[in-house]
Amino acid sequence: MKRAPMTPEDLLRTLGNAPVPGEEPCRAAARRDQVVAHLASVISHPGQRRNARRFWVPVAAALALAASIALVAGATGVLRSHPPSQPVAAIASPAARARAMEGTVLFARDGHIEPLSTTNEVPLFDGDELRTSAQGRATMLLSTGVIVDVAPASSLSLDTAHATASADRERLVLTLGRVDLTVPKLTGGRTFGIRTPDAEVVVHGTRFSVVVTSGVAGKPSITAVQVTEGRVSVNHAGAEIVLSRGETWSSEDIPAPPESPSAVVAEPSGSVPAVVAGNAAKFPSAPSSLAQENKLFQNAMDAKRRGDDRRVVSVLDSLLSRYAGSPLANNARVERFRALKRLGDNAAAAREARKYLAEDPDGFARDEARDTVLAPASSARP
Amino acid sequence: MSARSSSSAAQRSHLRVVEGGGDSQRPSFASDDEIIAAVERGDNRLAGQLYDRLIPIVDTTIYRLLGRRETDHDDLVQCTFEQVVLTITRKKFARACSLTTWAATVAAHVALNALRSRTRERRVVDRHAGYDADAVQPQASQNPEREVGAKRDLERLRQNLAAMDPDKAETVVLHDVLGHELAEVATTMGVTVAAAQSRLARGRRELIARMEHHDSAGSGGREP
Repeated sequence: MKRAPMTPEDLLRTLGNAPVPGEEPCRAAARRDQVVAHLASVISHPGQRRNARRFWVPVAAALALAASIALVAGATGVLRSHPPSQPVAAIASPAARARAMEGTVLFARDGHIEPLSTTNEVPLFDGDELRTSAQGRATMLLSTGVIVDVAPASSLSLDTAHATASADRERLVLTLGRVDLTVPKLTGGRTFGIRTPDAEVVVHGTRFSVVVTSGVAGKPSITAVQVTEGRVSVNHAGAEIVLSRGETWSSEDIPAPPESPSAVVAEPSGSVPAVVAGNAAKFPSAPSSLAQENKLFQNAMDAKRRGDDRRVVSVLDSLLSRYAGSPLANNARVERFRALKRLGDNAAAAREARKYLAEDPDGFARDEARDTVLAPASSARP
Repeated sequence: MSARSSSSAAQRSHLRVVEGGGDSQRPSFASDDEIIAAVERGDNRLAGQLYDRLIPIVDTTIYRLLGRRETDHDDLVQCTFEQVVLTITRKKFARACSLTTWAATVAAHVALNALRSRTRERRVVDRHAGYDADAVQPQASQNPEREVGAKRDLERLRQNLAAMDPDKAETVVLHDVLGHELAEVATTMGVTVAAAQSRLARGRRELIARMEHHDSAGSGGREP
């Protein structure tokens, strides 16, 4: 029997009552991040926003729009670098500079939210907050030379208000997520710390990671710390625990979050905070090896002159892995990140530059290394 | 981010929430007036709350009018929110209706524009071949033939709405699909109630004529 077609009235009613299937939570969350960031920007600068949706526009209008976009983009970049609400005096001495590396990254100042650009650095001041979306990553360079890599789904703020004449103290407050830090050797009583909801990590020159996971079902947040180099003290529940290279600590038994560049090792069982022995120093410098170190470095320089940057990287890898304590190590790192940059692998170059800055924050290639760290890694990605 | 365990709230009281401005002095859920006032003065702290308040109606409206979430769904959602914000900042939103009603109106406008755009595109390239209007969900599929027919009918309705005069199509959608009162439709469209009623009556007549023509011609629905 043939079905009678529905009347327009019935169809309109059906359309109005049609069920709407739910969305995948991560997709909805990603859209929320994107739209909220966009809205925050439109609300702050309503006059600078144009509807940039995918609707048909005449070619002539598109050409005119392209010209105006170029102007607006320049103006927006200036405004984002120097938000109008920021006092002029404060702009002269930011506590940090930050750049989004990928995905959506928001920063908040005095309650105003701005998306962080992948092309422009933004100065950050005391109290500013940074939040990365589920796909967002950011890098911060603090005024003391501390490099902070902010992982996806993280939230942190700057707290430099504790600096005093006798002891400068720079601090980050990590509410949620993961940060990987490279801290240069701090002198003159300066310290650097990470405060989490249930712990405070104080360092004097090291590389380490801090992970905060939110509590489930009303339980408090959990903090985990992994030390890659140097020593770190952790204050938790009135007690201080000192962690050395390769050791990890957790305020509770937790798994490391996914896609961590260097996974945190958590105590497999037990609720008592514990220090876990990790990898010991892998590459001790061998004695009486200077001639071999010189030879390797010379080989790398010869390859550089030939324009063979892959060979440069390979030889310097060998030098740095076999003779980590070599007096040529710093030069090797500089040459290595330069070669990686020439090869277009900006991400690897940035990692090498971080290591260089951690070992020699006032070295001859300091500025070049910092620029490398903050350079967009776009060329290294598809 | 705002959903934190209460047991350690005191420890985190010095932290501010990035989105939504959820500091301790601010109420958890701002009223329409508070959100509108914040937008008008350029304060973006409530951007998150604005989104959370309106996303259900925006998403639902766009979905129903287009039949499914296509690749540009997020763009349409963002476009709707942008227009809602811009109408507030430019004082074009007179607060004569709720923010939700206003957002539904804007979303319908955006979705109908997208529908027209797709119809124009389809005249050149049939990118919707096999178009699956899954707004009618297969629930315990006892009569698949009937469901397929219903989907086809809804798609036909959408095509005809896209081909109609925009003002009349919008009036019909706001009143007959979204269920807005005639006075609300008049307010949101900026016309008198009498004019809205006239548009509704003429819109329905045009839709019926187009549907009948569509049925007899078997395609298009371009002209009655």
